[in-house]
Amino acid sequence: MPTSIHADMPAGTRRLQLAALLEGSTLLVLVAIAVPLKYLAAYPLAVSVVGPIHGMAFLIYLWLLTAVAAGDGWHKRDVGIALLAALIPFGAFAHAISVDRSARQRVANKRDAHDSIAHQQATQRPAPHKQAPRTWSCSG
Amino acid sequence: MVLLWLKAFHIAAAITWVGGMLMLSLLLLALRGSLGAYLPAERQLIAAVRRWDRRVTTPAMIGVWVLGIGMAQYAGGFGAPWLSLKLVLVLMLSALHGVQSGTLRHLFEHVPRQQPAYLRHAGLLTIAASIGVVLLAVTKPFQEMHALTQN
Repeated sequence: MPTSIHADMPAGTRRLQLAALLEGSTLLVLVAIAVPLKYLAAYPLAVSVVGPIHGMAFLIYLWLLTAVAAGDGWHKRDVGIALLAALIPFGAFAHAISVDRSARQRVANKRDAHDSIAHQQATQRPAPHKQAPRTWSCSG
Repeated sequence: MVLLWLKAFHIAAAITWVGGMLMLSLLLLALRGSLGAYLPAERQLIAAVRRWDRRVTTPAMIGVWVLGIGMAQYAGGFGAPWLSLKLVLVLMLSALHGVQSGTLRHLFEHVPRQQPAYLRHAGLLTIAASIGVVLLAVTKPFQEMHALTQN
């Protein structure tokens, strides 16, 4: 029975994806709502509420990114892109999609490799052993 | 009074976090040479340290963040240069802890592989960053400069 991609995706990657979405959402709220409210409407409360929440979200994202990247052997360039994505509005959303895509690719590759090994094992299975006619020889 | 309580728990969490990071540094250093399969005793040790990391060190790190942000918010300290420098060091320590945790997970779940070279100095980096954080938090340098720019 086929399992869903999310069930196959490692827990760390799923958490990283969630953290990217959280980080992206809080950055968007901060930049698009809280900061304009502070400077255009002289209402600084929004920044002082959303700012620390975004700070926490960024720290969680950073920690999960380094843990997943070190655990799964990411390329340095990919880590750099993921870090940059966290600093740009909508960047984290794009990164969450790319994490999803690469996880799907990895799962598909894993399935292909599994299927090909199973196929290889099936085709290379030794033919049923035919018992050679027993010959009796008397020597000496 | 609230600030003192926040500070006390913040320091306790920071000690737990740094202690856990030093343990990870030592274990990763000890596992550095071995590239073959681990012995059962080694696997048991790695599993125990990973459990400690998941249940104690990582929650302590999150506690440090939450309490630190809470203190800065409560005392209105955001924007002070010493706090910004301290945040940079905390970001660095958090990233280092993430790399250590991820590397240990990889060593446990997969075939052992070569660790990043800088992890050899993880213990030294942790101690140096912790000293930096304590010095900044206690002496609060550049306060006058910050006060002048505020006025």
